[in-house]
Amino acid sequence: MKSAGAYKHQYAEHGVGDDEFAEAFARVEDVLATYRAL
Amino acid sequence: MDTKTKNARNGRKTHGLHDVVTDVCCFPAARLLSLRQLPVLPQKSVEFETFTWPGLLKRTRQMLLSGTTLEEGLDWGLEPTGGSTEKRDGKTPGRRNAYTKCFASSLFLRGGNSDLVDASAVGDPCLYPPWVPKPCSVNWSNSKFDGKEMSVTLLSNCQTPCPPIGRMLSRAYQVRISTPNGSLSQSPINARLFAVCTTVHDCLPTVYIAQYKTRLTLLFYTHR
Repeated sequence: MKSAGAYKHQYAEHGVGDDEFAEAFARVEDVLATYRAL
Repeated sequence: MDTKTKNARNGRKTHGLHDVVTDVCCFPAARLLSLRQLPVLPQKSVEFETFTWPGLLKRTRQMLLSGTTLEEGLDWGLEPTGGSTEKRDGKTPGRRNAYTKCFASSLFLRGGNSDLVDASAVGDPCLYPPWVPKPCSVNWSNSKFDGKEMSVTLLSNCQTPCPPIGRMLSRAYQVRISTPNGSLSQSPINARLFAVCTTVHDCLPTVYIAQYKTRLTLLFYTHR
């Protein structure tokens, strides 16, 4: 049972692919950077 | 909302979403809000409470400075470095101040005589960057909240959510690079984080509440 694949599949069902993951990571990192620079 | 804001001379009704967006989320890139509420006590003890406004506000200030959302184990030694805004405005590069910094905050006072309270402990200019148009807005109402004689709620746009979100992000990275045999025990937390991040650009004004351990963080987005 490939659990990692299973989770990815669940995200993919709702249209979240690798690109969306990358975008989400970038977004959160941007917000964190904004706060840490305060 | 039946609270009134102190910024108007005779008070005016607050407009929940509008006031949060204009006062607390003044900087579009920073929209992570934290909520602190005092006092926290069992319902049975409410009638025996002996709180005072200055005491509650002092505790709220210290919770804000130390970045905690509970009043247990507060670090009372923590104070903003430098009395003036110039001094703490990055004149000493490389030096990190341990206290939690804020973009802006909104204070809600509920209970008797709340219109007479001096809220300068929380509205201290040292706590906010000098360029923020309205660092601290104070709202008050003489009606009780949750049966308590007096209660203080602070909605702040501060650095408090940084450590948990940093942890979430690092765990999310781990999941992403994990092999099929890798551990995915943290996936519920990550799933929640992704839900917040990925739906945000599809939605118009949306409030997300993410609960992480005992901390309640409002992830507030208004997308343009």
